[in-house]
Parts: sequence; C-alpha cells; structure tokens
Amino acid sequence: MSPWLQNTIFGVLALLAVVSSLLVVTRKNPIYSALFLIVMFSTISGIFLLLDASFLGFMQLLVYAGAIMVLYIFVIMLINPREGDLPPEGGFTDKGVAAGIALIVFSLLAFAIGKSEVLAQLASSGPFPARPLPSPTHGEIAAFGLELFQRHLLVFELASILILVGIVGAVHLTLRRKAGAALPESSEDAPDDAGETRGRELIDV
Amino acid sequence: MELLISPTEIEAILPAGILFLTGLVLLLVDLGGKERADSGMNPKNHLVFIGCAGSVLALMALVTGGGSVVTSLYAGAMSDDAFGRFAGALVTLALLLTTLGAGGYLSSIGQNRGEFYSLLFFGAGAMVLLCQATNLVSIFVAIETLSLSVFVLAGYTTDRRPSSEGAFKYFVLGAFSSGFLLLGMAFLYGVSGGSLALSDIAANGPQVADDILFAVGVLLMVIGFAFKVGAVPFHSWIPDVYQGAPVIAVGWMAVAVKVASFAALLRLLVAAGGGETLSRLIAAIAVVTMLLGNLAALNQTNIKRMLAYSGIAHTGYLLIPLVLGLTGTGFESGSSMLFYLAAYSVTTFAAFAVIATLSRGQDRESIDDLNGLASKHPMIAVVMTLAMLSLAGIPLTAGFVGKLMIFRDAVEGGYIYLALIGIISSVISVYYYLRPVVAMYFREATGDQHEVEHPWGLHLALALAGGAILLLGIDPQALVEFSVESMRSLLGG
Repeated sequence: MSPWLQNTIFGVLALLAVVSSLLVVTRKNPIYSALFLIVMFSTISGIFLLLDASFLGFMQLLVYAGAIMVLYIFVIMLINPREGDLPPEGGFTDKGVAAGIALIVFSLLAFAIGKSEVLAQLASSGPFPARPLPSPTHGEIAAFGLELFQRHLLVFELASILILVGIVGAVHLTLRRKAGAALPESSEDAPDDAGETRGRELIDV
Repeated sequence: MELLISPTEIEAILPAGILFLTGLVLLLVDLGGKERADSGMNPKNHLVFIGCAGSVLALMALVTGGGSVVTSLYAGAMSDDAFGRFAGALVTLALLLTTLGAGGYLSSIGQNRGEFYSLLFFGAGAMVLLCQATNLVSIFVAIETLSLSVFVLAGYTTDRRPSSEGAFKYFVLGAFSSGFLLLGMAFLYGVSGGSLALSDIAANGPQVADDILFAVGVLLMVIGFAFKVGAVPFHSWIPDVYQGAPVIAVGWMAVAVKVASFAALLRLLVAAGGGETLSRLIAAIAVVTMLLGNLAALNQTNIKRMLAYSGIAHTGYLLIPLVLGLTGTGFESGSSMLFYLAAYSVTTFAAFAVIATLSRGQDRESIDDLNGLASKHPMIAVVMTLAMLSLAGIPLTAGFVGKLMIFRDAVEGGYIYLALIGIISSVISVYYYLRPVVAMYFREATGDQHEVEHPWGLHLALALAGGAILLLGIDPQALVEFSVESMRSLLGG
C-alpha cells in the first residue's frame, strides 16, 4: 500500500472515530449512543488492520463491536430509560467549564505532539502512523499468542484476577438482601425477593 | 517453544500469589451452606483466621525472600528488590491488621460476608505486585485491579445510600484518572523507542528528556497517580468516599492504596526523571495539598471527614521527597518517604480502627461520639490519643520521626520553604487532632455510647498498631536503616 493511500485511509478512519465518539456523548437517547459506539469501535478495528495487526483488528470487531455492544444494547433496552428517568444534565455553565477544561487539555496535547522532535523524526522516516519495522510474523495469531503468553504472561494472569474482582464486585453490589437480617431461605417474604433468591443461587453454585 | 518460569521468578511472585490464593480460598469457604443464610451477623472467626494465616505467610515470604536485586523478571514486567519488598510488606501488614479488625466490625453492622475478605486480598495482591512492577502494562493492570477492589469495598454496604454514592463518585473519577495514566503511558511508550519497560525508559530518558512529549507523558502519569493518592486539585472524592464507606474499609484504602501508589510513583519517577519543571509543579501541588488538607480539616465535626482531609494533608508531606528527587539532589530522600509511609500506615489504621470499635449497627462518626471514652475504655482512648499525636507529629511517636526526616531532607536539599510550610501546617493540624483527645478525656459521655462489644480481633489490631506507633517513635533506628537500604536497592547503588 502506498504511503499516500495509507495516510488517506488513516485520516478518514480517524475523523470518523472522532465524530462518532462525539456523537456518543452528545446523543440524548442511549440507544443512539450505543450505535455510534459501534461505529467508533469499527473505525478503531480499521486502524488496527491498517497497522497490519489483523488478528487484533478482527478481535476488536468481534468482541467489542459485536459481543460487548450487543450486551450494552440489551441492558439499555432492559432498563428502558425514559426522558424523565435520566438525571438532569448540567446547565450551560457546567458544560462550558467542562468544554473549557477539555479544550485546554486538548490544546496542551496537540501542542506537545506538534512540538515533539522525537515524533517529527519518527514521522519523517515513514508513513504517518509512525512505527518501527514490524517482524515478518507481525499481527499473526501465532505471534500474538506468543507475545501474550510469554512476554506478558504475568499481566495476562493478573488480568484474570482483575476480571474475577469485577465479577465478585458486580454480584455483591447488585445482590439485594436485607441488611443485618437473616436471609430467608423459605419464601415467606415479599414477591420482590424473587430476584434476590435468584441472585443468591447464582453465586451459591 | 518453551515456557520457562525460573525459580527467581517464582520467588518474586510468591507473596502476591499467596494473597491471591488466600482470596480465592476465602471466597470459596464462604459460599453455600447454612452459614450463608445468617451470614451478616456471624463473626465468622474462621474467615479471620484464614485471612490472618494468609497475610502472615505472605509477610514471611516478603521478608525472608529476595536479598539480592533481580530485575527483568517475567520479561521485564517486575523486579525483585528490597524496595518492592519493603512497600509490599507495609501493604501486607495493613492487610493483616484490617483482616483482624474486619470480623468484629462487619458482624456488628451485619455485613460480615466472604466477599469483603476476598476483595481485600485480591486488592492486596495487586498492590504487592504494583510495588514490584517495572513495566508500564504491569503497573497499569495492577493499579486497575486494586482500584476495582477498592471501589467495591467503598460501596460495600449496599443498603446505605452514602456508601453507594461515594463508591460511584470514586468509580467515575477513578476511571477518569486511569485515562490520564494510560495516555501518559502511551506517550512515554512512543517517545522512548517503543518499549514498555521502565529500565528502557530510564536508558533512553536522557536523550529524549528535553522532548516535550516525554515531559507531557510523565506529567499525565503523575496526574493519574495524584488522583489515586488524593493530592490537590484531584482530591475532591476523598471526603465523600471516606464518609460513606464502612470505616474498616476506609482504614484499608487510606493506608494501602497510598503506600502502593506512592511506591509505584517513586519507581516511575526514579526511572523517568522529569526535570526541573515537573519538580516545581509537584512542589506547588505539595504546598497546596498540605495547606488545604489541614485548613479544611479544621472545622469538620465528622471524624471520618476530618481524617480524610488529614489524609490529604499527609499526601502533601509525602510529595516533598519526590520534589527533592527530581531536582537532582538524587532520590536518596525516598527513604524518608518509605519511613513516613510506614509511620502513616500504622497511625492512620489505628485511628480508623478506634472508630470501628465504637460502631454499633452503624458508624458512630461524630467527634461528640468520643465524649467520655477515656473513663469507660481507657485503653482504646490511649490508642486514639497516640494516633492523633502521631498524625500531628508530636515527639515520641512514629509520625514525629517521619516528619523530622522529610523536613530535614527538604532543608538539606535547599527547599527551606517546603519545610517551613510543612511545619506551619503541622502546627495548624495540632488543633484539630487534639479535638478528639479533648472529647475523650474532658467531656462527659451521654446516653448509651461506647457499649463496645469487645470484638477480640479489632482490639488485637488496635494493640498492635498502638504498639507500633510507640516503637517507631521511640526507637526508629532499625526501620530507618531498612528504608535507606531499600531505597538504595531501587537506585542500584
């Protein structure tokens, strides 16, 4: 692929990513936000593909844009929030302050990226998304697996603890039970205890 | 292809591994059976015993192992040095005390469940790893793991609104700060030649240190850490979270998160440097944090909020060694930070544990709730007094030695104004630290206060913490030498 073509594709994808993430945070209806998030994830996976990281690119598409977003949309539809249910948004001053801070941080970062000599050196030596020369197996599943299970073995294992903490935490925080009181084993309690019992079965397994 | 894990690697991972395993065991032991049904009120001594055994084992693994400095374990993800072991041992010690106290306290509020202990231990394992982590990815994943566990602990009492609110605030801001951390890491990764290892960043640092992208990268990471340790202006979540969370969890997060985050930040700055500008910036943050923390604590009537602001002030003191390190006087002053962290840990834990002993059904958290405590429970009052004196930095307590070391370093490093502001703000702090003491000794108790149920674990933890405050205050020499040695192992001298 010629550097020119690569740069153009990158530019289009990057622009799409920025625009769609802006739409994610500005839409009132959460379903629209979720749909634009899918667009955003897809553009990111496109950028991965552009960087020859084919496996990662497709995983991004399958896992994030596919599976996780389906879950998101499921949850949103399950909760089905209406206009009135959502907390009121901040007023004009709140938004102004937030936008101001975001603008300052953005211009600081943009200034740093523009001024950086190291980055300029890297950029002049190749196509725009500057990178060192990849190995011949770069982006293949085998190379990816080796990287994950050899070089990043410790982090990989730690990530499993992270997920476990997430599961335990989510179950604990969402499980409804009466504080202090003994949990009823029989169901002489109100019907809304059904969810509680179900939740308990979940973790008792 | 070979997957090899060398014996040194196993030795290095052993303490964290023991903690993770204990967490799993605690989770499984408390599942199912009749125990589950009446869980909340039962003191569940077996969980406390398992937890104590696990943390003592991990502590032994930390203290006995190592000896020599081994870097680049797990392809550079972690190292095994006295510095990491020292900080890890502090975390594990706090874990031991928290576990001891948790059984009695949690059953008194009817929330004694295995999840608390397992989340505690998973978080602790991640903290121990964070103290040893030497590349950007392992630092990040360790921070995320410990944060996630602390978020849940902060909102542990799900039936209490302030607890859930505090936890949610903490969660959102924590996720936000992780963004800063991650972006900073990405910048560092890009500038330092595409390497994640701190050692490579240190090696390439001198060539790119003048590059603005490098400076911004370090700055973003420092901001991320500033959120975690609660430095001004990233401190706003602390009072609400501390007020809402169950007090034994507050003691844990006030101590352990700070120890682990400061250890990682120190390791990062030793590797990356950051130069004059960053040092001036951190100096400014330190000054504002010391003053604001202490001034805001002055008129708090809720003791948890007071201790929250006092924790912010102590973050300010702890930033001073970083300022000194970045200006080229060298990071030898990091040893005072290590000692201060040790002193701060035992002291802060003792203060929160005292509040935990008073809680019945819910936290008694007004300073008035301490009225007349001395006549009913003289020993608890003594420990509380010790803790307050140590936080204020009165001689013969651990806090005094810690402050002395930090201020002495500041004066020697030519930062007389930092030492001066530190001393002034310490003097201010004496006022509010003495208020609980006055309440305990010179006011009459009202009503049914102080009907302490005497949970044995909490009292044992109090005794240990109180003893440690005195011991470190009267004879700090051994620990001072140990922290100097640990710092030297990090600097590779």
